[in-house]
Amino acid sequence: MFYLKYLKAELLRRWGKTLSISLGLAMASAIIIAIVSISNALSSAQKSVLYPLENVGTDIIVSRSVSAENMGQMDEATRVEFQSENRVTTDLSKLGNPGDDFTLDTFLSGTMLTFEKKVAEQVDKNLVKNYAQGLVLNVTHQEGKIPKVTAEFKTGGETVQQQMTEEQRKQMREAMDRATEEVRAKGLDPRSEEGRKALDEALKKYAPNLSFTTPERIYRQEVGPISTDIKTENFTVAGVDLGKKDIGLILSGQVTQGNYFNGTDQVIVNAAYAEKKGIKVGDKLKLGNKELQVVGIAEPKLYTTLADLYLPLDTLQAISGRTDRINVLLVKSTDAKSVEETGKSLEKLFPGAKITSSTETAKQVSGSLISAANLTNKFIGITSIIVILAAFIIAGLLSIISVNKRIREIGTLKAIGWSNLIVLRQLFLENLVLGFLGAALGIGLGVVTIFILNKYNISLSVSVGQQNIGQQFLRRFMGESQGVTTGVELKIAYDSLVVLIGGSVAIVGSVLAGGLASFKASRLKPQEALRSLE
Amino acid sequence: MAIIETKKLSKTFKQGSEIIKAVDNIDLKIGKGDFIVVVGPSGCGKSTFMQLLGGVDRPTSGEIIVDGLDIAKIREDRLTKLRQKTFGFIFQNYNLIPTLTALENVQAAIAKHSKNDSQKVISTLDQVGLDERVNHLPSRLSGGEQQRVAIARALINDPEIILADEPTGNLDSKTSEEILKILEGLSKNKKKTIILVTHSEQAIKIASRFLKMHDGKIVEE
Repeated sequence: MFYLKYLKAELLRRWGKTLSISLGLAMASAIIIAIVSISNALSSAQKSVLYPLENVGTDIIVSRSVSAENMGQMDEATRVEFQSENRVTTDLSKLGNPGDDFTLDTFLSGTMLTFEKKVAEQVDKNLVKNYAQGLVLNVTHQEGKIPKVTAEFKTGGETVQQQMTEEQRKQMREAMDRATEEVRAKGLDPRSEEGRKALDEALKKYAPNLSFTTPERIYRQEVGPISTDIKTENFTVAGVDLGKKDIGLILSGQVTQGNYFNGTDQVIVNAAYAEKKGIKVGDKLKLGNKELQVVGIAEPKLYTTLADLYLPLDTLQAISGRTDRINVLLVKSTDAKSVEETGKSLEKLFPGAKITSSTETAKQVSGSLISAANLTNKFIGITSIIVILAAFIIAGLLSIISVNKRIREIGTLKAIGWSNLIVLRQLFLENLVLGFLGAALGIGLGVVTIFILNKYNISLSVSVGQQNIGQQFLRRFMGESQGVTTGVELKIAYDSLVVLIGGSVAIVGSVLAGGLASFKASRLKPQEALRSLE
Repeated sequence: MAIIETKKLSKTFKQGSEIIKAVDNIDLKIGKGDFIVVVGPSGCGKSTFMQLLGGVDRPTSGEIIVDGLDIAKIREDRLTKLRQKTFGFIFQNYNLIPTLTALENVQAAIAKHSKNDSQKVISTLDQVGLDERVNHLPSRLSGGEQQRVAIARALINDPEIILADEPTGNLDSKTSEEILKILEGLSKNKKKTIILVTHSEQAIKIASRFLKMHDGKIVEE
């Protein structure tokens, strides 16, 4: 196998050329691998954020949310309902005696009014593949000491003078004169402090019936707003339909520590809230009148960051006094194409309900992730073509330079009897091996690049924009800010298909670009090849 | 009987608007075992003439009959085979493949590879006086050694005709003498037909025929 010996000699003894061509190809290959992998990572990150409802097995959310803007247009019945669902009336005196410690949780529906859960059973089974009920409530938690709700006033004890007759007035004047005289006789000035006291004493002596003292009395009176050490705090709880596995406000897949529900009186805590409050799996939490066991910590996706605490639906319904009532219905339609139709059928079933589809929620999302993903989606094609072209040009140019340097060699081989085909085979094999070398190096470089990028934990921001139809759902629980921003970590996966594509770029690039130069060289007439050097 | 015969052999080149007659209407018969030396000033067409004879180049007109076959008219693949089997080429610049060793360079020319390739190559190299340094790359060999390798390569398929284009052009006189002796030996002992293009005086002395070219024509024989 002389051609293999020649191939080995050519690649090893011209190692500089071998290295430069294969490195050039490797660069292109690595760039393709990195670009496609990043783009895939962006796409999947974008998908996980843009289609959050799908992440909870849902493509439609049905709720009776009333927006703050529509408050004025509410009919009387809805207004009354809205007010009763959000009324906080606290009679602290019923919680114990003044000075006792107390905690009080009030459950409010906010803008998401509740409805009978049996409505859910009426959904069109032909359009709806699956559905889950949910109850999302805002909790106002109060704790502190029961204040004294009364204040004490002490009155009376003053000496007052009565209305006098002419006779009494005369007696008074005489008594006054005699008292003054007596005081002066003692050498005191009646206007001084000491003089006034002496004068009072003298007056009592000379006019004993002219004054009286009121009886002492105690009054108790209710006071205005209580001001004590009571702390108020708000958080969100969600009741999860445990009857469904693949659909619900939170799914077992989102639990990062501990377990999913396996009984009642259990609670799964949102990781962010758990961190803020120092809650761990196994802790006990008191909510309303129930003590709940923390069974898991969950990391819900952006759109599912609805609640701080997740409870079994029945438990929450019982604690909040909303037996058999829900305020969210998560719906999965039979297939992706019928989402719109399903939405329309649900609108008929729930007059006045808000039907939010995943496409609508997706429109509300913005941020660097979306920009980056859109940018990549837009340019990935062009970038890849440019890189592939660059790889071809680099490989082609290097091959042309290398082949041109070997013109005499090729001419000599042809003169001593090498046919076009044998020359071509030799050059093709060289290009093929260079391509494989470039592919191997490129795959290595690409994988290292992905490894390094992953090590830097690139985080992209995602914002949920102005609340719109379904955004009430989010906004209500996420404070009053206009948008909610969260970070999504870019996780670049090692995809064997991408690696294969990247490697192929080097091989095909080398064979095609190098092949062109080789083909031309193989067809060169020996005398031309020999003459070109003379 | 002539091993090569040319009839009205011409080769013209275009250089700008000028047409250059490198080989001009040459009729020549070369007998088997002839040792022909072709001399002439630079650019007289002797190298082109030799390339035409060896089937490396194609004539503009005329015939080149090798063993009764007009090689001017045969297809490229047949010509390639003919070059490999009938002709052995020796160039002024040795034209060795720089990445191959002396041994491998000779091996590169073997028409039919077999298990005995290496032995065959070593004995051929030995024949031309290169029994050592066979595993060296051309860059590690002297000019004389490189030309010996080139001669061995020309001989490896045991061709009938050796075409040597100024093989001593880059060599000192002592080495040139050694190379010419090898060629002389090939002619005398192996009855090879040798066509040698040269400027060397020594070569003329050992030649059986002498051709002088000028402006593409043979002006003296």
